[in-house]
Amino acid sequence: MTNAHSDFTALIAPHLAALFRAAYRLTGNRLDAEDLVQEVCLRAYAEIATLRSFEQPKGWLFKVAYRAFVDGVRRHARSRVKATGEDFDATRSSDEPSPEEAVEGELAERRLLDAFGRLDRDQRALLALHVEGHNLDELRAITDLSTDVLKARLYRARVRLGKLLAAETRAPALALEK
Amino acid sequence: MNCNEVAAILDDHRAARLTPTERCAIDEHVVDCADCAAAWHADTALRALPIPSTSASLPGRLQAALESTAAPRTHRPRRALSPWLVGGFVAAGAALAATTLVTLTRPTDVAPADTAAAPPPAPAAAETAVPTLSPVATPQENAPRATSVELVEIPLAIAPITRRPPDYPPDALTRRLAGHVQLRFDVTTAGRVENIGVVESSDPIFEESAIDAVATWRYLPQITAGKRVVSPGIHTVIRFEPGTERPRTTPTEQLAADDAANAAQRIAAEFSAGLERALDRFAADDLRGAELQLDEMYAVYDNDARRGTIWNFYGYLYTVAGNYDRAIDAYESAIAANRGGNPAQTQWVSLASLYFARHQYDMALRTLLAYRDRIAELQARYPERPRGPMAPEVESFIERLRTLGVTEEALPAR
Repeated sequence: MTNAHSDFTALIAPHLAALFRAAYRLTGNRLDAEDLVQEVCLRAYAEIATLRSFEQPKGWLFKVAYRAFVDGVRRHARSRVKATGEDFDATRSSDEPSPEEAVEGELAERRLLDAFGRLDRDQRALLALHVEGHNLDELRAITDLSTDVLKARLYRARVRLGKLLAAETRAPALALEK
Repeated sequence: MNCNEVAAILDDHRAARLTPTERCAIDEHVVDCADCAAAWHADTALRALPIPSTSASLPGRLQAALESTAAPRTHRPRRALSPWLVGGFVAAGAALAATTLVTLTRPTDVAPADTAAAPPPAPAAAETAVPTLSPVATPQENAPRATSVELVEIPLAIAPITRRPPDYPPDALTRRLAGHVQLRFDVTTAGRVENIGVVESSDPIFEESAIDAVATWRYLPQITAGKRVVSPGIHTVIRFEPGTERPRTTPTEQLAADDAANAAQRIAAEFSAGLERALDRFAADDLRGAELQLDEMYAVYDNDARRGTIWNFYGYLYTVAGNYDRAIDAYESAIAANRGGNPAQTQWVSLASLYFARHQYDMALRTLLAYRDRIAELQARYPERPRGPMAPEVESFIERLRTLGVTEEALPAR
């Protein structure tokens, strides 16, 4: 391993877990989340000088993540959130609740991820970063949007997600093809 | 508790740490406010989403990925933001536009249709005497299903966004003269009014003032085949009617009334200027800039009528961008914001067209029927305000759905 590598790993290691959490919220499954984290690391690595120049590189890393996500990590075909059974099985760890609770919880999760996947990327990115704990000031730095615009977009994204969720729990919509 | 306070609590991550009083106030608010109820529900659901731990293989994977890339130059001059990075942030902004407004460069955003049905006719602006409808093909009887794929586009007819009322000609006002002017004009691809001509007027005294006002009007330009096009030959009639004589008031009352009127006028002018900025950006094909401008206005104006106007613009913008999901959302919000007012036909027909393009024919029909009911209800309530017959676009749209087998009787019960 070169010096640059170990250097970089040390710089980025404290933030990997947080990056992954945000990436999981953004993409809705572990595989895509890990792809996104990898993409962020590669982009950050290319800019290691910038990374070093920050005392707290976390904000900058999220900015890179935000940009990578909103760009769409184009190298991968899985761009839309898909809540497939496979992903969920892969994400189960051993200390899970009872099977019934798991089924119930999984359904709710699937509904949420489906609805979330129907939002636009920028809406998803904002909500994911926000719910991951970033406040408006941090979001402003990450997205370069004004506070007013952020507030309005966050509210609208939530309303839309809430309505999509409500629609998902109702009977499947109207199809002409009977 | 109002919507802004609810949003602020969510924005500040305070939802999980509320006092009992706040909790009650929110519960009371969300019972009546569907938007806040949805927002609250979404926030709760998002926070409840379990996040799995990273897989054990991630660090190794990252390591492998890093090793396959060349080590970066580490002697880059130390600057807080390198030019590359600044460029990158600009690119991030551009990419943001690309997500919501991704299909600008594709003239017709397309949804494959599974029937030979053509898109419904364009909703025509109310005053359009010579509406330019998109060519509508009649559905062919034995058209092969599924094998023929046709592009569906949402035609967008011009819709006014700012219309300054004309000044009353002082001479006419002193004579308490009423009248009207019929004008004919073209709407450019930038939504400006040009080539204004007088078709007919009751008295030449009104003509100049009517022309001056109309020259400042702005429209959302008509979109045909994904392009902004000129709408020639739009007609409009402007009526001048002197109000009833104001009862005499004391000078102080008069001053206060004038102040209030001036303030209202200034806000209206600012609002119009904001819409015009959005329209200018749109006309420069800067969809993201237009969206951002609307976002800023949305943050500032919270009255229903203005929000309705903004939502309507969003609906138009997202339709042009091919983002039908958000366009539907926007038009529904516009209609909801306007529930007390005069229904704007373009909004309802655009919404129905969007549902149609997404093959949600039931929803398209429901939308049209709801509009028809709304008009009937208004007619019943205000019989003294006569309305013309239902616009032919709506009836022909309903008829089109009927040929597809979607009728009021066949709608599944809700």
